[in-house]
Amino acid sequence: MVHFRYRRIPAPELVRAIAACRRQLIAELPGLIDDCVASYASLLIYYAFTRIPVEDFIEKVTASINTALCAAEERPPATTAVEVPTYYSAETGPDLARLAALKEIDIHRLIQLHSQTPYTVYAIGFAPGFAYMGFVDALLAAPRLDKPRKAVTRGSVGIADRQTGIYPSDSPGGWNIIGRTPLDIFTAAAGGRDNCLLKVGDSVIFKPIDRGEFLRLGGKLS
Amino acid sequence: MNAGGTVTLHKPGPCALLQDLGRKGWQHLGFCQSGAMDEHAFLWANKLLGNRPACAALEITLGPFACRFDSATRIALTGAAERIFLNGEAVRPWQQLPVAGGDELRFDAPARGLRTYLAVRHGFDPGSPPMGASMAVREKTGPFGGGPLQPQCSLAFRDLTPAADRHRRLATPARFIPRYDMPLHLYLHPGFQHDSFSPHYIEALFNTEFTISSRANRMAYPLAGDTPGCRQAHLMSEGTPFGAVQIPPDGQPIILLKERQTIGGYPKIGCLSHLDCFALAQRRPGEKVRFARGNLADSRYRLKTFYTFFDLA
Repeated sequence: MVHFRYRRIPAPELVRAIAACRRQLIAELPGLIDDCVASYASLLIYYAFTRIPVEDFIEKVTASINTALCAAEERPPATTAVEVPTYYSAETGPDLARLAALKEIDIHRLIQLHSQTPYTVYAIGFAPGFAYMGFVDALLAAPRLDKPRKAVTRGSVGIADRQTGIYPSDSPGGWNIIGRTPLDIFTAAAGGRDNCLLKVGDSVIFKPIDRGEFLRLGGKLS
Repeated sequence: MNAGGTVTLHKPGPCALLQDLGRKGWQHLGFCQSGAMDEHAFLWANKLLGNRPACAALEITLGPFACRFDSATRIALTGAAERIFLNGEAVRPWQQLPVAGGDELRFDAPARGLRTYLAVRHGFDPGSPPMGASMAVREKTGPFGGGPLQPQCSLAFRDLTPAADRHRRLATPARFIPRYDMPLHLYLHPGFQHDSFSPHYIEALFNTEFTISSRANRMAYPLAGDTPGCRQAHLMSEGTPFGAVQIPPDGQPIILLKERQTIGGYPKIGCLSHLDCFALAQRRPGEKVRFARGNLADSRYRLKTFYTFFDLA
């Protein structure tokens, strides 16, 4: 486990640098890394411990990470920008009206606040392809539901505290659901491991769409 | 030689799953590692058949279990099951067994231990699932929609057994067959957030007898014991390794196993050796365990020896 220190955590530039470290480790140490999980301020490395003594591995990892961090400092690593069309509505966002009422704002204002800033993917977990993104406007911050829903429809866009996320598949969930994207976040089971729409470090912006476009893009209303 | 066959599970038990050594290169996307819970028994089952170590085998939790082979092959059963019957005749676990087409295998839920592994010569054939043969129940990923396998389902195997080979009766030496009712000490290697815990809590952790919770499953083993709660600083979610010992605010440890979530936000007081996790996976809810202080160099050496023995180094 590598923990990163930085002047403020979490920070978009930090998690992007960590993602760059991850890419570099995988490229530089082929055959030695089984899995590598980046999140807010850490990188968990699963390595082939039967193939290399731990001291040697730590030395290689340290060298590789230092190089990647220096490079990231000189020139910020390229950021993938992802646009997520989202149909914000009562029929796709069961918590939309309640959240707007709670915050004493217009639903349109809520949608505008959620879709005006790009977010950073800080971690992927909880379920395959579930991206923790931040941070939503302080005005939109909302605690998780007291009682999680038994079923949240795939594509649902939710808010929990100051994070926002998209449910990649139908699953139980406690986030406040305000809309739904027609995009397939995750098709890895069918395709390959490059088929996840979102990666740690990516920049994500939600784009409000209407019902017609949602359906045209393959969205389902059930 | 024949061209392989199928085995039909008449009674799979509450949770029978196809497993291999788990997925590699998927955790960054949020897929759990999965894989055999007790690699000691799993790897012996493959070794007894001369299989490659990662060949897919069946992991059968408890029982009763019954299946029928439609063609000849060789099999090995390891792990918890003790009283096993082939066509009504008692046969022994931890050794290679020839089966013929039409043979029926069954065993009752074992008296101790939890998981039994059934391997066939050359392994079960899961097709070519993108993430390998491992099923993950919580995630609903892997072959058969993640399982568990349902009564009457059929699994293909690739057996090509030379008839002349059938006389070889390889068996696991008795000293390598664990007793799953022996007291289990879990050797903890401090790490991660260890130093954020009070000396009082750490002392209590090592002096407490814990009971395995009824919520224990392939994801994690929560433990219940007389430990104090602990106030905790907020932790950013981070990767959660196999064998990590998480401590939530109520002070009751949770040991993360094969189907653990890939990241988590509870502080981790340390990590267990894989070998202790394999032993723990054979313990049942209600059974007792204790923590002891582990020696990292020693545990690394033992683990490397283990994987070398099974041709995985």
